[in-house]
Amino acid sequence: MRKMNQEIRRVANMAADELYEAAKQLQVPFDLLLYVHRNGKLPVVNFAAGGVATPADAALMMMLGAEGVFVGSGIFKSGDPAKRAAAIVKAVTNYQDSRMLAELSSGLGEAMVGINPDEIRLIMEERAI
Amino acid sequence: MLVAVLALQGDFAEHEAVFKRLDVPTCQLRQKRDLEQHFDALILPGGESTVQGKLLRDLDMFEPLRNRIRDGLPVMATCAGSILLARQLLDDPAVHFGTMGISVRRNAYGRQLSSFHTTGTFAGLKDVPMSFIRAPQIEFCLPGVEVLAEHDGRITAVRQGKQLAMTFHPELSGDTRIAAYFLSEML
Repeated sequence: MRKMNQEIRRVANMAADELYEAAKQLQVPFDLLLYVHRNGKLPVVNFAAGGVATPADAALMMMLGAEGVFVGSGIFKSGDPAKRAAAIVKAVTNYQDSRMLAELSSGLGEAMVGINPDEIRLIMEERAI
Repeated sequence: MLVAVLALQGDFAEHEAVFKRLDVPTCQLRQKRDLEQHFDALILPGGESTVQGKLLRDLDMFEPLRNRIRDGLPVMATCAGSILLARQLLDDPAVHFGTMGISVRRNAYGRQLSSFHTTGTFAGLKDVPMSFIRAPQIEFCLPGVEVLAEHDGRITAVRQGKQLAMTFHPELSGDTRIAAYFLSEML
């Protein structure tokens, strides 16, 4: 997220005549780069996704500059999905309120457990035909 | 003067940018505590009305805000915001603030492919850019509600007392005239 926002700031700070070359190097449409240059943001919501398991994870991504957080298995592979989903939504809305984050983080049941790379049995490339 | 923008979900950042261009300070309403400060007007941004309604209630902001609107706090609502203000939703039993005498159909234009951009007349202002993004439609108005804009025979903006609601997004275009109208006519 830091890297993305760093790159967005880099584009925003470019001189107008640098944008053509940057669009070529990044292989993106010039209009898109011009939008980012003018607005200092992407034309779509900058979502954080992947590995978010707790309200604190979601709040951290917002702190780092995400505009939204997308959570899948972090919710569905937890002990109490409905409660955890509600807590993560509130954590994103009020990510700057540490007291509320602490309250939201308690009593959520078991969190999703991450999988270490060496524990993965099913390799994606083997699934492809 | 301070304009409060409901910042639970949706395009609150774009609304803040409009008021920044007008040199009007804004604050974000994210939790009950944020309602304690003094503010002179309220913006209900576009987004998803069910999510906004749920968060308003879960965060105990619903009743205090509804009471402030009933007591005459000037409010400008766009897209999902107009659904929050409507007294009746035509395809949903839910009612949120329900402070405005309008009946609204959610997502009345169809799927995302049917979202469109146009220009139109708003309360005498010509060629105002209007973005309709999975927009709702105002189908009926009670007496006392003044129609400010229409598109293809459909009502797209209304006013009732200190409440202003529109089904499109004026905040996305860079045109600040509707926000300026709100500030000059309703505050």
